[in-house]
Amino acid sequence: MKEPFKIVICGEGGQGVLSIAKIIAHSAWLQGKQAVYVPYFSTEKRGGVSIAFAQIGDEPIPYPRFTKADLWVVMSQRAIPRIAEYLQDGTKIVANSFLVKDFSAIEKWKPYAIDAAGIAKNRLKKPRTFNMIILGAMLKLIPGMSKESFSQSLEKTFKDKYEKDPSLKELNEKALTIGYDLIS
Amino acid sequence: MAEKKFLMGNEALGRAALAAGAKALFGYPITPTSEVLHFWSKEACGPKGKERGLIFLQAEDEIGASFMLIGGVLAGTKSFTATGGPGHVLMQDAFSMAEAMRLPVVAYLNQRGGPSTSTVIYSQSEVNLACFGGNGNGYRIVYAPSNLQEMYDYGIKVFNTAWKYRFPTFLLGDGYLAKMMGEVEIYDPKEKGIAMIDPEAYMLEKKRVRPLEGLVPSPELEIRREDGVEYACFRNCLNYEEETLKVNLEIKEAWDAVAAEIVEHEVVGDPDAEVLIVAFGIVAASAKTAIKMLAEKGIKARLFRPITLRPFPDEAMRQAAAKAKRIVVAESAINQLARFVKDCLYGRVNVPLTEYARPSIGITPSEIVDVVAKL
Repeated sequence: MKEPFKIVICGEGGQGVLSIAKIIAHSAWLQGKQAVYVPYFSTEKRGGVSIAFAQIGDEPIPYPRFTKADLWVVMSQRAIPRIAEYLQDGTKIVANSFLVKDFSAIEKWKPYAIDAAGIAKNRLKKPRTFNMIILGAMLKLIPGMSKESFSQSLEKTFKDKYEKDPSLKELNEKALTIGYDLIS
Repeated sequence: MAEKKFLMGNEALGRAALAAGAKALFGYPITPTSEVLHFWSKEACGPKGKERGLIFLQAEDEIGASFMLIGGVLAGTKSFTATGGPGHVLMQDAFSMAEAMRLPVVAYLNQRGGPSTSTVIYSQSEVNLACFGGNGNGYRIVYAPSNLQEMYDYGIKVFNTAWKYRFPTFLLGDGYLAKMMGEVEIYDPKEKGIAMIDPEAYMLEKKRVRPLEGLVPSPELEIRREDGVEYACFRNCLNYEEETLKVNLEIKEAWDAVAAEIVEHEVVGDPDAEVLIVAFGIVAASAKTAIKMLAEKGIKARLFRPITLRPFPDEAMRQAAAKAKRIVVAESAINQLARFVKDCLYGRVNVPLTEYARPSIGITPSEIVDVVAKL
């Protein structure tokens, strides 16, 4: 039995945790893979911690949750203890260093610290590209997902938005590439 | 045309109701089921929905919504509601009335944490409530889908079961199934050779194919004919103990006559396995993965999954249990599914039973593997 690739994302409500996981799963599915997504939803939204789970594989994935992750993404400091139990040997970590300052608890996993918020704000001048930078970085770490086919599936996901604002497509592509290239 | 889509469970339910030809949703929003209402309100207010005469009505609360649902059914409209948790509790008054009068109300129920308001997320602790809630004897049909595709498939089926057998019919999902997204094949039932059963009015002077006599328990129904006009008079408030006994026995008789036709179950895994896992819904999905993981460790395990929790697949359960040396009941509740299993096996099949009860929290495949491996 080949296990699916397991992703957990955690951050502050409003940072786009749920959207990122949803986009990753949907795009993988559009590329012909099996994928499921489930949020950890609660009564809090903004001001609380959000968690989302996504799995990508070649066989149908019956159960949406799991105990250990292959890719672990934290977007704020207090997200670290919240999802610490999902870490295992070999888990890859992406951390948003704009809000994560203390890496002591996750050092041994050699996290990729990327300042997605800083790049979005200062380099791209559009804070909302934050998500695309994170997605780009994640993409590099998920086996069997190419940047090209991911971009194509984004066009389907954001069809309506791209039609309304064609410049958004270019901006997203740029942010995605920046994020992708941050992981070496 | 059948089409594969990437959908949330709640949207699969909304689309199922639409495909089943449902006309009216009476409800009150509650997590984790609100998206069913979102979907339906959008449909009902859109041009196609207006053309089809779809109705969306948000009541003042779940008590109001569920009695509106009864009104919709009495008028012969294919109607449904969607709720969960405390909302599901509030609807028991109306569901009991539907049970008493053989009204085919349909409800999509997504279980959340309990008891009380608890978490809005997930549980399997509304089994007792869905099957036996209210002050009757639990003559409701309860289907428990196990994956997103089944949310759609059984989301359609509940309407046919309800209108064919005329018992309250529920789809019992949970917060994970409701909120997860994945692949779902959307189709028109006709493409699959499924004929949808038309609803019929109980009240109003409409033509009825199925007479009310022999359907509505006799003490609750009086048909008067005056000047060539037929008046159907209903009551669910009875004067004598003997009348109420008669109502209950007639409902039981009707139920016993069709229960064997309705029950559904699934068995997965090696028939020679010594361990039989019993689970339903999303936990059964988890158990299916666990069985594959156990096979890799050289441990044979089998899954018995009731698809209908009510009527419970007693015969099939006994047959599967008789072959096992050990039974493990895994559920996100304490002694709800397990009680059904014990009820079914008591005095007939004597196999030791282990309960893995994780109230209001999910059960992953690796947890099930650990439980079985430690036996």
